[in-house]
Amino acid sequence: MAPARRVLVHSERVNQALGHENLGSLSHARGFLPREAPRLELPPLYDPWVELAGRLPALHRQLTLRAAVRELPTLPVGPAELPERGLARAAALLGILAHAYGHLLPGPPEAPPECLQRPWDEVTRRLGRKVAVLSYVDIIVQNWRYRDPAAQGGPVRVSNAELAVPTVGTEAERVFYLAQVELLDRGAPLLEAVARAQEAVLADEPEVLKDIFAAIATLLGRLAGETFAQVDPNELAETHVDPVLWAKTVASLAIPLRAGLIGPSGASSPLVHVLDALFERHVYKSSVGHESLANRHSFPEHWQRFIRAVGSVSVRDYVEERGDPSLLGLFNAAFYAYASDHGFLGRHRLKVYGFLDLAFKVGRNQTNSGFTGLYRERPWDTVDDELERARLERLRGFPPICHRARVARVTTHGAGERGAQFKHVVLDVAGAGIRYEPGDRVGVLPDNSPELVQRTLRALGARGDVLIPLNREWKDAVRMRAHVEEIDEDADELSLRQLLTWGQIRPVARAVAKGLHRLTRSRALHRILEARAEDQWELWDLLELLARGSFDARRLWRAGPGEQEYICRFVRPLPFRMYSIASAMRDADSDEARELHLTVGALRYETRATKVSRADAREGTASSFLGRLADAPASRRVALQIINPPRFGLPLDAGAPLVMFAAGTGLAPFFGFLDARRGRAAPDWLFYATRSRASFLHRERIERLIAEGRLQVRVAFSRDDVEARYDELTGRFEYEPGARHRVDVEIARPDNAARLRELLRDQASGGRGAYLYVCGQTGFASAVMRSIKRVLEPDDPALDARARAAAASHELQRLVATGRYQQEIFSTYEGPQSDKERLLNASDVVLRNNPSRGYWMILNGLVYDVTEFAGLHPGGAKIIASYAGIDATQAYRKVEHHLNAEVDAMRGMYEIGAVRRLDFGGRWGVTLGATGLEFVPLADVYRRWIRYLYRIVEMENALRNDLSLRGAVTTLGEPAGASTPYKAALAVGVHARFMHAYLDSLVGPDFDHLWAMTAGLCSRDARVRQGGRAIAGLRETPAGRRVDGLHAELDARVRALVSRGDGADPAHAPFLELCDRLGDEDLRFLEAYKRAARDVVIAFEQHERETLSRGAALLLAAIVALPDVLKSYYDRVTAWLPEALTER
Amino acid sequence: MRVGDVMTVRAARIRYSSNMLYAAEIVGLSGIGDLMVVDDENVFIGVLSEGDILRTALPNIDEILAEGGTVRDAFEVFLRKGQELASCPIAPVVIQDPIVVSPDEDVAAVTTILLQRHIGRLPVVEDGKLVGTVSRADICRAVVGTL
Repeated sequence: MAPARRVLVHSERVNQALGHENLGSLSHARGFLPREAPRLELPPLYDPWVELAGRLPALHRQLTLRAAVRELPTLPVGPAELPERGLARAAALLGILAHAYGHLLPGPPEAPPECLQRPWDEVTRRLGRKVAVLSYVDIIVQNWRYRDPAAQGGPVRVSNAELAVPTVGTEAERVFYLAQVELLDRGAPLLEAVARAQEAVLADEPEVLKDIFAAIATLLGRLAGETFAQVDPNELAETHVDPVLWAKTVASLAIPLRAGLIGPSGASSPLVHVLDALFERHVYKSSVGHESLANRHSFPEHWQRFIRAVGSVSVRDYVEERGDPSLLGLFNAAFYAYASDHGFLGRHRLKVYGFLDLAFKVGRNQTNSGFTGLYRERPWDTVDDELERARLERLRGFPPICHRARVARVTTHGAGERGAQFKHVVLDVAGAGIRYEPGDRVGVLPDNSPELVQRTLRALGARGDVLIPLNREWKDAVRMRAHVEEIDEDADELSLRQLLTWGQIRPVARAVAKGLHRLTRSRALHRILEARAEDQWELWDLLELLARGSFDARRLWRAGPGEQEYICRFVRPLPFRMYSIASAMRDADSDEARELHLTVGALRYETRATKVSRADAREGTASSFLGRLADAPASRRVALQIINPPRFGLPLDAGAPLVMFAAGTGLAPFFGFLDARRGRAAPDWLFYATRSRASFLHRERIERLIAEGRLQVRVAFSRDDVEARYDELTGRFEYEPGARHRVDVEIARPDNAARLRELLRDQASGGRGAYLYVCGQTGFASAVMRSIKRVLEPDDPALDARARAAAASHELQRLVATGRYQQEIFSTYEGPQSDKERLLNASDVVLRNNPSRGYWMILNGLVYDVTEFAGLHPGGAKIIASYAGIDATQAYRKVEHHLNAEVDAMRGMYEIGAVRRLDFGGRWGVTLGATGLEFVPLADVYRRWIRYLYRIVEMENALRNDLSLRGAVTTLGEPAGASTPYKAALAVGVHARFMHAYLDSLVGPDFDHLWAMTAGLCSRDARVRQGGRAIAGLRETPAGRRVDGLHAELDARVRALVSRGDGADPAHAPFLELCDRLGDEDLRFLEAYKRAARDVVIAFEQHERETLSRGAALLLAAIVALPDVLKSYYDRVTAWLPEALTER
Repeated sequence: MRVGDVMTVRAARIRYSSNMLYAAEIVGLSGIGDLMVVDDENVFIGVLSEGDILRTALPNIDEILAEGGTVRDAFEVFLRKGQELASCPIAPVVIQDPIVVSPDEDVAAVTTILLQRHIGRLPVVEDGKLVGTVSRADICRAVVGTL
């Protein structure tokens, strides 16, 4: 018997014989969950615990929990009183009560009293655990029940279960924990799959193994796409988890009560351990890796044995020894479904990042795994880095892979018309172990054209056969290419010609341009960079430009690794280019695809002659590569990767109709959709926008679909004055004279709009509940969205235009939140950034960070209005709000949005201009620094102020998110927006953090330094310490001292209330109101302070290089005004604050 | 090519017992920023650079704050300290263990030091005695130039 099977069978037997699952629930049917459901019965002796646990939400709300716990009797838990089968429930109850007790108030936890700790220790001992800690088993595996007792034994889903012991009892808590239970339930087949995989290896049955890998990949895709996805930060989603509410009221519960212990976290899921064992993860050096091992050692005995058993047979060795590309392909597909950036772990990381980013900003200062940090250290980035390290540890030993395909045939469409030519490429992928689903994308690894390579060689002054030693990145690239090309996979050098063929040599990336500028100090290149026009250049013509400035390009290929000029620093391997798959896997394909279709438009454009660019005809790398394939011999091979985008795929509800909007080649994925939906009775809908009859793609195929009753089609020609009408008799489109028009006009036609309205209405309200899909370039996607919003406007005459638009926006958000509006947007080259017409000042952007002024955001120098997008963002509106009004490029890159074409292309829909770059012309000044006289370039001073300003905005955003909790339901059974002692305690925490993390840092030493530096530059007679002294003086006034010390007063008052347990007493009402009001004042301070700091930045914006001459007075006045804001804050708060916060 | 072939034999030098006024005047007259410091027997002791002299005159933040805390105050303290410096001995400002080269050293080796350590001029020392200095200019002239 295979080892994993043996453990499964053995555990089932042992658990049955014992009559309990204290050694670990483990079965074929339910995986790691209890065989039936958690056993919730306890002897009546323990009713006081159960009764108290049932009141937890109210005890939180009134902060009466600690007082109530201390009233508990210390109950005996020996074998005489508590049978073995009650231990798991007792452990879960005691753990949750102890942690709820400990974490009732923000701040360090309080140790539970004897009446809890003693039985908890004893139960822990009886369960064979080392130390009393709220474990993964307690809080996930044992803490749920079916909503409907009749469902017993059936699937456990977020939708049909409840927590056995909720603490605050909110939906956020329920969804968050039950999603993890659901993960275990839906992941149960994985255990069986692993056991079967071992059996297949032992019996040498590769075909069986292929089926298993395919099933594992599918399962992991579902777990990530459907189960994780339920923890949805989007407000309108059915299973919404508000990240702020989660951070404040749910997340802290499981943090260990004592330092040095590890609490349950994502790494605790036994499924992750099984997968790590299956894929033979060897490296556990990251802190998350350490934690993972520590966790495994605390698992119940059966779990540990199972995981060991999984690791005892090397499936991977078998796959490698067989040398069957299809087997290897499917094995890799399963692994990538687990560990790649688009896989299970990658999506987990992205979700965690979004939640932790907000959580830390609203004051969480520790995770269950013990990550700690203060706001300014950006701890959410640290956690994220660690998660990413842990994911990469798994990838080590799995070199990046790709599949190998052959070009079967290429057909050209729409020939003749310039720029509107398409190629339909059919790839033969039989035996490559490729699987895909409708909506998946395929990445193609292109080559550069021989002509472009030749031009680049000439510019480098090199022969193609020069050998270039490779760095690590290139070695990985070669290893991947070796799946497809005739090349030694361990090659450590490559001919220059080959390197250029596989490298990014057009257009020039900003980092490359900057690197070349560092080498050459070329003024011409500096101008190009300043104008952000580097993308107008290809490497060869940029090198020619630099050569005119006497740069010897030969240095690049003569330099070795480690040298500044080393060519691999400037030419990085080409990445995969993404295309929609225009086919579906056939049923007959079983687990492996045979063919894969792409529809590709040719990208050709011309750069213009300007001061920072030269005129030339250019063509897109990948589209020209695929174009060349048409002429290549059939043996031509292509390297592929399949990407499963998280938010583009067929609905789970196969009965709902699809409404598809496509422009040009955007038609591609919909053929995949339609292929997969063969046999449906009702037709789907397609709105197709294209230029002219000549560029009508796949017309015959579409006509066939209409004839078969599977599709209704509307066509909009943008450059052809005809209307297309489908003629049922001929089964063809007939053309009648008409007016050229775009998709928005087509959608707005009354019959179409009416039909769309009916399709879009929910099934529950008599509509069809259709799913909308949009595929095309950004401009098209924007037009469709605008038009659909008009369609969604209620025709209620009582509403004015604005109210109708707001209702439509809300409806659109709801569609997006429920996955019924999906987009696949691709960007195309849109001309240089230097051409942007609308230039916006940073000082304008910082005001756009609130509901009344909207939300703007800067990414890579461009400004986006994300007001509407906030409601559509898969990561929720609060994370958008937290980065509004500032340059969010860093965070955007952190979550790798820039690497995901399908995400990055959406930006274009919201772009409104570029940030105006100030020109300081190299001006400088001498001022007083920390140690004495200091030389400072004016540009540096500006940079420091703008960062300071952004910091204020980020704090304002965080505080606003914090305060959003006031209107929320924080505990089960309270009216929304009610003032409760629990909320007051949270508010006191918020204010304390405002004081420590925000105010102290804004007016602390950094401020003194910046103030001094600026004052000294403005005037030789300015006393540079004046700013710092003014602040210090204010903080020493009675008002300042009172307000600065207020959080301590408030905290003492909350603690007194907790210890007396009289939170329900209405006498506290004024105090609760006071806590609320303080939050408003704090926010007002940040808003006013932002405006004051913005005045400083405006002085720079108005005068640029003349800031220190003509703008000095303005600048000085602006910084002198800053301390006044603190003064008005103190004055305002003391004006209404009672003399003392004495009670009653 | 050796250092001995290109070095300046008549190095700008100063006795260890001199004061700042004297040092400042030599710097001014010779136009050379790094003075070689020797004792009465011409035994090499160290280097005195104009940068170090100026740095001594430049006020630190506490001095500036004591004076009033403006940039103008700083500028004035600088001038005053400069004048006060005139009568002070150079000894505390002398760099006592600088990099030295021997006349036999190859010029390429010395060029490497000069460039990598951002040094303009190095003392040439033989048997403890100062025999000259070698500067970037010396090497430029001899290696690249035609003289």
